[in-house]
This record gives sequence, C-alpha cells and structure tokens, in this order.
Amino acid sequence: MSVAETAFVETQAPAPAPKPNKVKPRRFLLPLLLPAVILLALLSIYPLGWLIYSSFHSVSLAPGAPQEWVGGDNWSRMIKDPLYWHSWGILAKYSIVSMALEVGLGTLLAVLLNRSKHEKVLVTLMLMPMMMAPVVAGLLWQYLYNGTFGWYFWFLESVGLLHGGTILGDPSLALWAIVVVDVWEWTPLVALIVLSGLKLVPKDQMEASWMDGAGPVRSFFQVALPSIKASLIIAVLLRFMDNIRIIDHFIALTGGGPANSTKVLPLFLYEQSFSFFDLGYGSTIALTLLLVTILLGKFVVTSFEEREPKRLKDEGEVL
Amino acid sequence: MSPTQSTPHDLSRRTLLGGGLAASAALLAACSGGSSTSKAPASAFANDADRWMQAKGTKLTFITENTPPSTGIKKIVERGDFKKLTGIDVEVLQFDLPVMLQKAELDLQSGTKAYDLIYGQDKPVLSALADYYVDLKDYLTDTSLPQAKEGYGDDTWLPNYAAVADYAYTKRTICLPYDSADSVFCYRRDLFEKYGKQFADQYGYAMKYGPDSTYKNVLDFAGFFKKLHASDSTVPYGMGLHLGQFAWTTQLDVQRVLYSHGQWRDFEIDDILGSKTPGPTNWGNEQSIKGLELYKALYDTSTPDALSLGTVEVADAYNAGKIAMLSQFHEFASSFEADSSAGGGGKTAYDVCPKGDASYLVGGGQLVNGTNCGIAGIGINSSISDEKKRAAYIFCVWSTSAAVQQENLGISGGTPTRASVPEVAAIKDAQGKPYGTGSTGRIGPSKFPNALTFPAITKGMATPNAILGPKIPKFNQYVTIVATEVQKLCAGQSSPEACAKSIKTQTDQLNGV
Repeated sequence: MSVAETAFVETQAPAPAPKPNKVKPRRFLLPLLLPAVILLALLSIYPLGWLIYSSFHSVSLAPGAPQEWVGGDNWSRMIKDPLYWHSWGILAKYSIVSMALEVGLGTLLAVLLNRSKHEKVLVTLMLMPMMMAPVVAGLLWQYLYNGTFGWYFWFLESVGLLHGGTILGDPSLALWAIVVVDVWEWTPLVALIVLSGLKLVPKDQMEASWMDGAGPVRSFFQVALPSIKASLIIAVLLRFMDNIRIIDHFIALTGGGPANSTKVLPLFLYEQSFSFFDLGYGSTIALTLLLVTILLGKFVVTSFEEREPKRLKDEGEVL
Repeated sequence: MSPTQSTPHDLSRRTLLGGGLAASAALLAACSGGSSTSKAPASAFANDADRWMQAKGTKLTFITENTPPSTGIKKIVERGDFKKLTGIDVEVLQFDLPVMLQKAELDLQSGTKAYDLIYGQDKPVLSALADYYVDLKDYLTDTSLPQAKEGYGDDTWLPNYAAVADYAYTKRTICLPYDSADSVFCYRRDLFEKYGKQFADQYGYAMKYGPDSTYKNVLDFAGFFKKLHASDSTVPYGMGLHLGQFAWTTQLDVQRVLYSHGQWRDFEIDDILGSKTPGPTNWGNEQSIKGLELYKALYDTSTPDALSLGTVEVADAYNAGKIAMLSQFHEFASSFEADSSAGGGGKTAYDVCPKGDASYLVGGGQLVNGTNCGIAGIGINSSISDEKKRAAYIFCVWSTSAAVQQENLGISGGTPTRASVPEVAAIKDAQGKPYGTGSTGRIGPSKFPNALTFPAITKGMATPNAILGPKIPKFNQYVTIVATEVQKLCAGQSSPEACAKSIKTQTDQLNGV
C-alpha cells in the first residue's frame, strides 16, 4: 500500500468495527444437543432406569403384565446369597491376576519388539489372537485343554506336569486355565499400547542414559518407564474394564464349573437373568456390578489425572 | 449316499410320506365328528390331498435342538418332502438346548411370535413354558385336518413317551412326542471278554452284564478296570459319568442311580403332570445319602478329568477308549458304532441300565433298572394366529408320523417315538444280535445303530424302571443346584451327607418350602 493510499484510508471515515457475532449460541444449544441426548437416553439412561426399577420388582416379560413390587427383597436376597459373594471373589482373583500378567508380559513384549529388526512382521503375528472373537478363543482352548484329545493336555501330561490329572475338571486349576486364555488373547493389546508409548520416548534421553553407563534394565526403569506410564494406565484401564465384564471364555470353557469354581459374577448374573429369567434379581446384581465398574474405572482415571499434572509440572520445572 | 439322492427305496417311502398319511386322514375324517378348531367342514375338501394342502403358502418357523433327530427332520424338510405334500414352507432353526430354551422363553413370554413351532423337551422346556403352548386336544380330533394313521393313543407311542411329552401341570395336550433320549448301559464287551477270566478269579463271579446286573456289579467291573489301568495305561478307566457343563444330564446321571434303589424320587409329586408346588424335596433322606455314596464310588473309578466331561465329552472319552462303560442316551449308539470309535464295529454292547443293589438300599423298596429320559415333544406357540396354528399342527402330525420317523432313522440316526417303528421289519433286523445274560442286550453291527438299543429302552422306559420327572417350574434352577453340589462331592469338597443336605436346603428354599 502506497503512502497516498495510506493517507486516503486514514482520511476516510473510520470503517465501522465489525459487529460482534450477535447470534446467541444458546438459541441452538437445545436443538443441536437434542438428538444426541435422545440417543443417549435410549442407549443408556432408559436401560439404567429400567434396571433400577426392575431391581425393586418381580419382572415378567409378558407385554402388559403387571410387574410386582417386591421392595428390597431382591437386595436383601443378594446380600444373603453366598454364591453372589463367591462370584465376586472369583472375579476379583481372575481380574487381578489376568491384568497383572497381561501388563507385565505385554510390557516385556513391547520392549523386545521395539528393539527388533522384524518389528512389523512380529507385531502382525502377535495381534492374531486378539483378532479372534473371545468365544471362539474359548472354544479353541477348550479343545486344547480337552482331556481326551487336547494337545495341551497331552503335552502337559507327557512332561509330567499333570500326573494323569485334568485341567478344566479340577476346581483348583480351572480358573487359572482360563486366566491363561485371557492372557494369551489380550497380552498383545497391552503390548501394542505400550509399544506405541515406547515410540514416544525421546531417543536422546535413552542415548544419554546409555552414554552414562546405564544398562538396558536401568534405562528402561529410569527413562522409558516414566514416559510410558500414561500408556500403561490406559492399558490397565482397558483390561480392567474388560475383565470385570468377562463372560465369553467362561461360558465356552467351563460354564462356571466344576463346583462353581469358575462362576464369576457376570456369569452368575447371566445365569439368573437369561437362564432362569429371574430378571429382577439379575437387575440387582447388574447394578452392583455397574457401580463397582464405574467406581474402579473412576479411580484409575483419577489416579492418571493426578499423575499427569504432576508430571507436566515436573517437566516445566526442568525446562 | 447323500440324503438328497433318490433311490427306489426312498421313492416308496416318499409315496408313503406324501400319500399314505393323506389316505389315513381320509379314513379318520370319515370316522370322526366335528371339532371346535374346524375352520372348514371336512366336506369342504375335495380329497385328502386338499386336506394336507389347506394351509398352502403359509410360512412357519420351528425352533429346536441341534441333535440328530432334528437334523434329520431339517434334511427331509429341505429336500422338499413336506412342501410338496402341504405347500407349507418350514424353516428349522437348531440351537444347543440352553440357547434354544432361552430364545423360546423370550419369544413365548413376550408374545413376539418369532417361532410358530417349539421343541418341547419334557422337563427343561415344558416345565418352564407349558402355559404358552396350544392345547392340541381339539386338533387331534378335527376331521378337517390331516391326521396320523397311527392315531395318538398311549399305545401308539413307545412306553411312557406320551405321558412325558404331552403334559405339564394340566391335562392339556401341549405336545406330540417328537424325539427321545433314553438312558441305556453301554459297555466294551470286547474288554469284558478279554479280561473276564481275570475278573472272575479276583471277584469270584463272571464278568457278564444283563438286566439283573446291579450297581454293585458295575462298581466291581469299573474298579477292576481302574486297577488294570494303573498298571497298563492302554486299558480304559472304569465308569463314565455326566459331570461336565450341562446340569440337567448330571441330575439325570445321579437320579437313575438313586431311583434304582427303592424308586427314590426327587419330590413326592405326580411325575407325569408335575407340580407347580412341589413341596419339600426328598434330598437329605437316608436313601439319597446312600445313593450319593454309590455315585461317589462310581466317580472314583472314572477318568481323572471326569468333572469336565458332560454328556457329549463323556461319549468322546468312550469313543477314544478312555472308559470301559457308561450309562448314555441311546441316540449316541450311532457314534459308538462308528468305525473310528474304540468301541465301534460291534465291540460295544447295549443293555438296560443297571439294577439297584440291596447293599445300597435303605428300607424295603423295590430294586429296579432305573432309566430316565429326555422325551421331547413338538408343540405350537399359543400366540400365533388360528390359521398358522392349523398349518403348524399339520407339521406336528407329519413330523411325528411313523413314516417320517422311519425315514429319519436312516438319515440321521433319529430316535423314533412311535411304537410301530421298531416293529418295522428292516428296523427289527437292525436290532443286532442278543448279547449278555438277559434278553435285552444287543451288539452290532447294525444298519441303524440306534436300533441296537430298542430292546433295552423298551424295558427301561416301561414301569417300574422309568423315572419320568420332576416337572417343576424352577426345574432348571433345581438341576443347577444338584449338579453343583454333586460336583463338589466328587471333587472331595463335601461328603455324601453334606451334599444331600445342601441340595435339600437350597431346593426347599428355591421352592418356597
């Protein structure tokens, strides 16, 4: 722009300042949100409301049939039901052991893969179990464990680990046999998540630690691990949420037996609701499972949120 | 040969399927009066073919179990026999029994009408869903509908089949007997012969089986094999049991042992009708404890993985040569006779289930060859339209006719329910050679392997050997309790007494006693 032009522009009456956007977003708030709210209501709020309602009723499926108000009967029955508490115990054992193994092995696997020349091929192979539907994986392992023609059974017996015993027929072993299936299927997911975290570890920091004479183990714990903590927490959260709702492997492998030794809570809930059609009692159990899932999920997320600001603060101080 | 290939034999049978039933319908129509279900008077049909064709164009869905009899019916339907006769399309959906029950229960209770015809396994299905089936009584005498030439009286079915499959809680006829699974005793007669002398030397009596063989004898046989196995792993273990995932067959496995001793029954109710208020259970009494002692002793002779073997898996174990004997449902004879089976090619003998033994009897009851069953009927969803009900009834009549059952026996190893089927010359010839110490034992080979069991089931399913119940509304919960507690007993987590009493406590609580 020339000086004259500038002068011209300057002598002009000042252009009116652009009008602030007077469209009030609030006008559109409701119409824009409504479809999502309706969808959400249909998908979760209504079922949740129905679940709460059912837990205080004896529920009949017949259309128009009166649902009999039973007050707190379902709740008191649940509290007194030893199988309910037993199922929680089995679920806790299963979830904690599976998650610990998956996170431990998955991290180890990720570290090994990260250093491998054949990472892409190995990752592809490693992901194969995860691609299988859990119920299919369960059926596959049922054949492998089968005492009559199962390959794993034959192998374990041949090397003298079973001593002519059984895998799924032994109440003290069956749960751990299912843990193995879960670990086999879902460790790759943890490995994948951790591997993606490892890719973000600053190379210069790793190299610096090596230059300072740290070995691979020390470098991992002091440099890599703090960087992949967020990935690990995500992995823990995902596996925890999955494990607490698990049912497929149990249905396919043991059906909760022998002698209720593998009857985890979701299976107990399924049995009450869809085998015996005691929907009121099933709803009560489902509510407690939902509540515990939400609380524990929230606990994991909160601990993640608490760590992140601290980490960012620490990094800020360093900078 | 593929079942879809046609042979002169097939053609003559199809003629029977398509024409014979129609002719018999005409006869019945001429003799019978009217009916409250009649949509049209009998005279409205120019001929019998019209009677069969009256629901032409209707589409029906039949939900059933994925066992050989229904697989056979499906094959016959899919090759077009039923459509050709009636013009009705039928879709046959097969599932595992628990899944089938779940789907049927959701459909019937909610009135969704997804299924027109419902497989009615006597206790697991009918106990829970009896009220949702159509009463067939009026249809059975409706002259405007085609009817089976055999009729529907009790004597036209195998013993007790109609009693088990037709009713639940009331005298409404809710199903027609469609297929069956009756328990028979199956054992490796080649091994009995091979080790017979050794057994006789040790136990002082012959290693032979027959209707008078008791559970004590079976325990001896099984224990003998288990001991042999300890020194020679090629010898099978003793007794196979049904302890795996399927609670109902575990309850049946225990029930037949207990019933053999003084005809012990789960509840004091009429086993044919069942009861919605069964009252206190008999579990916990002395006989039940003694019976559990025997069952645990049998378990101790079995394979170490017995707790993981359900009905199908224990059959696999038998076929693999892991066990020497078991009580099994007679439909499994087809797989036992297969060349690939360790007991195939005539090495397996079939006989009535063992008799109770005086040493396990408490009090003075009768010792019998306790035999139980799953007799399934076919029935109609009460929510569907009247037109569809009539079409569905036509399928019920057709699928339970002797002609179709005979055909099915050849196709899938079906399990006929009609008394006339075992009497057909070709089937009688297929009942194998007599074997064992009585008149009911048979060995193959056989063209129709399931026929090898017919003498045994005819005796076993008759009074006083047959135990038919219990039909109670919470039957599926009840068998889950029994199976779980018996598994605990076998796993060494409880004693027979604790097991029986725990079942008693839980069952009475379940039934509001």
